[in-house]
Amino acid sequence: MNQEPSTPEHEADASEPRGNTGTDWGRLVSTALVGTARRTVPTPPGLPERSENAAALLDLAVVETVRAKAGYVAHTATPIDPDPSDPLPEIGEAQAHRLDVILAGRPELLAEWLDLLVRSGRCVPRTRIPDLLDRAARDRGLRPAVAAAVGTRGVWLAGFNKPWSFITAEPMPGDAFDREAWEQGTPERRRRALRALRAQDPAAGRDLIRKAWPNESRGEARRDLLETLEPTLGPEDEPLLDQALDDGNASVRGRALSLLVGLPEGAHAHRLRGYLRRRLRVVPDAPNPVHLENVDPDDPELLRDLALVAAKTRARAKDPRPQDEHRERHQVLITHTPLDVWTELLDTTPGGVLTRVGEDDLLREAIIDAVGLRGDATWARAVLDHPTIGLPRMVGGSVHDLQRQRIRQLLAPLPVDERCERIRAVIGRTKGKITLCQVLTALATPWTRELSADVVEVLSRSTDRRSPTDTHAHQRLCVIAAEYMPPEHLDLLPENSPNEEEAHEHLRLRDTLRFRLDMHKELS
Amino acid sequence: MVITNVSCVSDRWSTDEVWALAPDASSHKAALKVAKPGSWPASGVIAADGGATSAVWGECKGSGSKPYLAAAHLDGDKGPAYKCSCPSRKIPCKHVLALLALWSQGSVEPAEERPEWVAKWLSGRQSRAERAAGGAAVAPVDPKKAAATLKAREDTVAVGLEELRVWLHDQVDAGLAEVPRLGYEHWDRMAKRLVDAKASGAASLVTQLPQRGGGDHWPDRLLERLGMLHLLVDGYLAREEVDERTRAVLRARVGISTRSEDVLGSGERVHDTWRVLGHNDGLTPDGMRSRRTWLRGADTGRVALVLSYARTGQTPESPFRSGTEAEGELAFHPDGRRAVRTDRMTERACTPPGGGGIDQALDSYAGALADDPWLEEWPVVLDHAVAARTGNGWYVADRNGAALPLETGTLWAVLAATGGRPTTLAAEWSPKAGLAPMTLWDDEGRALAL
Repeated sequence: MNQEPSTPEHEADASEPRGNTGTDWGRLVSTALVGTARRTVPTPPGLPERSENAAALLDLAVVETVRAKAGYVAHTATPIDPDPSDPLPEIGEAQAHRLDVILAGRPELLAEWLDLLVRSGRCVPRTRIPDLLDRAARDRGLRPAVAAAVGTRGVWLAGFNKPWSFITAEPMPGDAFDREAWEQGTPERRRRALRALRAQDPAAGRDLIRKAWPNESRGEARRDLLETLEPTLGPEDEPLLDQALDDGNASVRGRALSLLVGLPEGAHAHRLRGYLRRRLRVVPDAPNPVHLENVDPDDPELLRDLALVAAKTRARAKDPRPQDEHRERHQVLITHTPLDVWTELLDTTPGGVLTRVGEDDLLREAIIDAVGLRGDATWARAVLDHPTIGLPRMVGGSVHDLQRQRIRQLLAPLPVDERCERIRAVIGRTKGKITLCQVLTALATPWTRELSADVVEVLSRSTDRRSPTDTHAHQRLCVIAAEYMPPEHLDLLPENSPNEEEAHEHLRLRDTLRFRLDMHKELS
Repeated sequence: MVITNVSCVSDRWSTDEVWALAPDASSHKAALKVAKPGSWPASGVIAADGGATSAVWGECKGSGSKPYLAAAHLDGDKGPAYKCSCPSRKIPCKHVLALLALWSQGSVEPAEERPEWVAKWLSGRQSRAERAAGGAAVAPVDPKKAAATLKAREDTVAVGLEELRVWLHDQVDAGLAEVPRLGYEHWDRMAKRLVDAKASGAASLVTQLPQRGGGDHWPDRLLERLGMLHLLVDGYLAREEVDERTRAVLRARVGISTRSEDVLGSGERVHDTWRVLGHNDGLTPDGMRSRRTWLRGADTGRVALVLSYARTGQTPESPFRSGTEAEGELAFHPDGRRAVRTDRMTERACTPPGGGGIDQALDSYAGALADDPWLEEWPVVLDHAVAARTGNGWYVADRNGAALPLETGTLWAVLAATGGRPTTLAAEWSPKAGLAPMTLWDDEGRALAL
């Protein structure tokens, strides 16, 4: 019998003989289609003699139908390979309930919960794994945390369902190089194997990349190979990156350049310093004492080192204004060159450099970009403290997205306490609550108790009347506080809001903090 | 998904079991929002004599001035019952769900005092239950009168089935080739006629005939179904000549049902330790939600089916909890399969039920077909079930490599829970839909309802 799960009523498949009565099901069906008025039906032995043809046909049909059901023959199938590893201990009932509440109504807390879970060394109840994998399939940001939370069981499970295959690329604690995965695995498994190898033996990983490179015809795949260098990037990786600057694919060249920034003592960095030195003119008494000469548009060496395309090979120049092209090259050059070239050339401190480049927007902006890109704490402090461009200035106007991004980059290299202190210092100077909201999101770290207290103070200021904008800003601030304020600072928040019309937001904020507090306690 | 922990002697339900009661995803979500102690200024657990939970009550702060009064009676004779003063039509509503969720996490304390509204509701339920029990015992239905009523009903149905017989023969005589061109009314007229003749079971079999010839192999499918109808008609019209049980099966299939009161009053009673194998839900032809709960007697080996129904938007009652065992009497319908829960049953956690291989499962299905050839689903317990795959899809295999196709609705849940290792699995088998898992037991013997 041909019984396939894909066709539900497998027993109905007419092409196969059914049982051993000698009745041909196909003939029965064709007789039924034509009609028993036009065709006779034989009565096989064992069945009652029927005067009506129709009854005789239906008798045969029912015998065959029941026979097929009752005589269903088992298939054979090979069991799948079981999950070989021992799963991590599962969380308890209360934690599982908390997860359900988050999944149902507070998805914004899922990342934080997963993070706590992973740190607790436990994993989610196995029954929740499919739901979490579905969510991570939709939301890329959740993937690393979900990968850790669902544990080896989740990775094993994802192997059976294509939409979940992303999980097999996520590195897991204790990963070891798996040669079979590297040689025969999916791109995701290959990437994970390579990462594991790089973590243990960077040189062996590099060799693997070098061997695989010529066989990867897709630029994206070559970029992914470069990607795996980042966590353990070292000076020995430079030749590989340098070679990638000649790649035919722009995204490969771009990624190589951004990785080369991490090797300030390399040959590439020295070449960039050289280009910059040769083009900088310092005229001490001029209003703009530092001047950068135009980069030669046809210097192929320079263009290559900056992963740019030469003007003439650019397909019919999308951007025909040469001025903008110069600007772009200057920017790219400055942004990617180590910052020490400035302090040496001008023989001054980072703060001094910022002052001397003065009002030249292009230079200054590019230098600040370089500081953000390199995450250099000394330079970051110099920018943030600078009297005319520092943090107090940045928050004095409205903070647009680009600026928020910049504040975030400049704060990132500093210790958390210092970051919070710097924000506290400017809380009173921000232009309105909306700006404060933007600065606080740029901080992107849990707050110190002092900062929490300051924000609570802003939230609790009583006002007689609020404009719609104020109301909106207040709501935003409550949402941000609910997200970034450590829940153990709940005690700083008064029971009730001094402003009756804000009572609802206030309660919501308290409620979320209390919820998070319980969540932290449960997983500590 | 429901986990029953065997090692835990507490009768408190797991939170998963509570959520399994939610009529739909939105009430689950709504209940999660009220499932925090702060929303329940007053609540309490009422203990039964043995210390187990008899009822849970609570007063929930709502948006209005009056709190919502929610309660659940857990050890009632007919399974759990719920009450809430909120206007929701869902049963249980979000308040009851939230209250039970809090209770399942130990956040509701036992209370000596109980508010008047709780006491009144519980005593009302108690006296109704006594009246029902007493009524059945005191005034048994006059058997002669009952037999006469049944006879009259059987005769009405017989008239309808005679017509169905002629109609069936007409279809086959004329040939089925025309079916794709016939409209819905073609079947519907016959179905309506059967409803008039009080043969609703036969009527829905007619409605379910493939219409407009849709789908592959429709002639095969149609002929199969016409054949099964033919068997029902001929069997029913010969009902005087068959044994009592077969006759009861025929009655049940054409649509002559027996009321639960009558089953409790005079149905066959079987005492056993009934293992609750699990339940699966379905839809009735008229859009009701139905729940098939399967039990198997530990001593008698008898299989019992307990049906519960609910309107759309509600969850059918679960008279038994999957993975437990209930000791006591079940009252059986005349067909010997469908059963009703009786008053005195004690439930407790238990070890996994004994199971067998796939050939045994298929044998038991074939045996059940001999009693009732119209049977669709049948419960099977596999003691070494393991997920398997071929180029055609997913299967469940036994230790000999014999396999049945898996109904994949619960595939990921099964794989996540087992990790591809063998497990005891209770499932419904039907050649049409495949193997539909109900409950599995993990390495530690914990039951997981799927």
